[in-house]
Amino acid sequence: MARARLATALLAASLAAGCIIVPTPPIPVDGIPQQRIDALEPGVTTRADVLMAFGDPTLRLEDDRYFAYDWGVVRFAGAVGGAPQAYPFVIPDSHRLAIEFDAGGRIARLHVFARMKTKTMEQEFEAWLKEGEAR
Amino acid sequence: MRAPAFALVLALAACASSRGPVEDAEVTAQLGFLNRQGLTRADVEARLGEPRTRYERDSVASYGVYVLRDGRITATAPSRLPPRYTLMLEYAPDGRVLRHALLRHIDAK
Repeated sequence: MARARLATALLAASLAAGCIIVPTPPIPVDGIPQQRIDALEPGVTTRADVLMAFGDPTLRLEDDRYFAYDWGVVRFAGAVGGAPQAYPFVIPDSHRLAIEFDAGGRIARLHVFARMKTKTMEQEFEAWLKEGEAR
Repeated sequence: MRAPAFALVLALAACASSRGPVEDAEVTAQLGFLNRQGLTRADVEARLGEPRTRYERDSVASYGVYVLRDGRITATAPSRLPPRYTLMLEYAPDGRVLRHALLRHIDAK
C-alpha cells in the first residue's frame, strides 16, 4: 500500500517537475544474495564463519552479540531536468541482515529487513533487538 | 530526457554488487604467503601491520587491502586511496592462521 502511494506521489511529482522515473529490475548494491543467507544455520554457523563470509559488519552491538549488514536495492531510476543537463538519480530500498549470536558464538537467530524507508526499517530492527533482550 | 534514465538503469545493472569473496589473481598472488604452513599472527603482523579491526578476542582480524598504482598491495592506508578489498583472517588459539578470505571492500556507514 505504501509502495503504491509512493509510486503515485512520484509520478505526480515527476509530471510537475519535468522528470522521468522508471522502475528497474531489482539491482542490489553491496547486497547479500538470498542463497548465502539461506546457508546460515542457527546453532551451527559461528561468528567467525559470518565474518569470513561477509567481512566487517555495518553495525556491531552489545559486545558483538548482534551484527547487522546493510545494503540497498535500487528499484527506481530517473532523471530530472531536460537535455542537455538532465540529472540522474536512483531510489533504493533499505535492506539489513540482522544476526544475533548466542553465548557460544553461534547464530541464535537472524532476520532480513527490507523496507522502502530507512526509518521504518530501523524501527523494526529496534523491535527485533528488544525481542532478544526479552528472552 | 528518457535517455539519461535508461542509461542510468543500464549502468546500475552493470554495477549490481554483492558482499563476498573476490578473485583477483595479482592480489591473491601477493597474499600467497598466507598459505604457508604454520604461519602465525606475528608473521602476518610483521608483513601487514596491525589489523584494522579485531573480533572474537583477537581470533579474527580484518585488514583493508590497498592496491597501489604499480600494482603492489599494502595494508597501510595511503592518503586519499580507498581500500579495494578486505582481508579477513582467523587465528587458532595458539596464534596460527586457520583461514583467510579476500572480500570486496564495503564502506561502513
